[in-house]
Amino acid sequence: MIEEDLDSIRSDFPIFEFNPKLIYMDSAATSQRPKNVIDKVTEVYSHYNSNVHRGIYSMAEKVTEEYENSRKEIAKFLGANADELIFTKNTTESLNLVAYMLLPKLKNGVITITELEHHSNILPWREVASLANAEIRTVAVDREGKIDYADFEKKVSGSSVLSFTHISNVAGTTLDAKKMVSAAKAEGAITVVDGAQAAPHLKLNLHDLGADFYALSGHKMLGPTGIGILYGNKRLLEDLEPPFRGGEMVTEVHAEGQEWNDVPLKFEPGTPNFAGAIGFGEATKYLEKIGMNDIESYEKKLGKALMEELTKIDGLEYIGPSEGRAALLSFKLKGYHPHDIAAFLDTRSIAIRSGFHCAQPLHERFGFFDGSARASLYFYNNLDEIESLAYSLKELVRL
Amino acid sequence: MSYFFIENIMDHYKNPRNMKIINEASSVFGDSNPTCGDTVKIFIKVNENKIEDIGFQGHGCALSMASSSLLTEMVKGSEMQDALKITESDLMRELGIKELGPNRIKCIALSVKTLKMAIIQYLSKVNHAGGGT
Repeated sequence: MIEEDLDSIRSDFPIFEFNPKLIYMDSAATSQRPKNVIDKVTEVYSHYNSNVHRGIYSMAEKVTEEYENSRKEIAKFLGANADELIFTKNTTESLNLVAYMLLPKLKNGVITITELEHHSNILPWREVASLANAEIRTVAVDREGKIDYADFEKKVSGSSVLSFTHISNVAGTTLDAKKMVSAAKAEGAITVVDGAQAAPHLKLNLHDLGADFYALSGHKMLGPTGIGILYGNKRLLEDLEPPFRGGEMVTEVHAEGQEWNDVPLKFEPGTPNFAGAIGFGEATKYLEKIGMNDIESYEKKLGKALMEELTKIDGLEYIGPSEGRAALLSFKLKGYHPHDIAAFLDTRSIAIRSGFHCAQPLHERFGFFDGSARASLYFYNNLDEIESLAYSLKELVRL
Repeated sequence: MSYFFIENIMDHYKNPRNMKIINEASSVFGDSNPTCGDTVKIFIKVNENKIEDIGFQGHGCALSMASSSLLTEMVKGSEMQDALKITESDLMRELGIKELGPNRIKCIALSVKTLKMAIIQYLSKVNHAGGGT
């Protein structure tokens, strides 16, 4: 159980040793990293640093094996096959990549997204829509930041692509991804799920979910920065053309013509972030050890406590559902700009995010024109920290 | 020390100086920080190359509002050419802030940039009108 083991869990994270007062509540932006991940990255660079899928000397074989083992490890963690995972830089790159992969299929088509999307799941679609003369539809959310399913059914009808976030990074809503994916598939649409905020917190099984594509970032789930994943349905990956080209993604290049490498390497041109990829595999091992089911149920408790403690504060307004939310709360306090809230909490060693969290349309939808302050938690946080946050906010209101 | 505990800043934030619209302004310029939603609009009334009167409107964090307020005090009555020379560091010194991270410097830069644009807009208008006659 996480709650009983929390001291030992926290001692796995060097940042809490270096900075014992730190109350870190910005995990939706980036998580902290345990020692095994940091050590693994150091090991790659100091023991067998060489390029992957190229050299035939023993070190090059070792690093390639580690790189591909990591892909297998992450695939197991996600409930997918290794050859369905493309290593990218992050969720944003994954979403851009899939948008460009699908571009040839989108001519005069319909791309459906939702009001909950952050910029990374809006802007790539706007770009391909303008190139393909496609229409963008946006599914509405209700006052609690939940999908309006009547509107969803109307908009998904006749869509070529449906792309939506699994968990909103602002509202904290968890979408019924399976239901949405199967409704879209019945319409013949290709489905893309932005899992940046879900993959760190939920037990996933991508085959069971059935989405054609799933995007996520390593750095939000204990992994190194600069490494992400685009999961793709094997049949589609084999069928689609690689939008970006260069070394490693081809088997033969002649004066005229070339042969693409097999998937997923076909979509990984150039030297990849192999140290990051290997470190990410280590992160998923750590998450497996803690247990995603335990993480999910512990975080439900944190989310509930966060909501209960913060809504006691006078003048606090928040975005998102009142119940069943992820362990994050985006809020504003009457009379205080979000930056001032974050700057004051910083004096109390509490790190939270302020601004639009890369989701300005969503803030505007809820009338949060100055953005919001957001506390986002992970399994290494505890109930005492939530109390400290609430205490400090009350202190600010009294100031 | 956090800016939260610098009296000068909180004083300017809570009691902003020159927070007014000047109807007969010689130049008005507004700008915003798209990353945080802060907005500032500066009105200047020029007389013989001097900023005879200045006003500002806007909303944002304590830092952006306090720096706008202080900036208007700093330049009121001064030559436009001198006002153009004011930098973010000058404003930080006047506010009593020793250092500011790259993300927060933008909160101070907004008013400095907006004032410069108001002056440049005025000068180009005058020069253009001058060139035409």
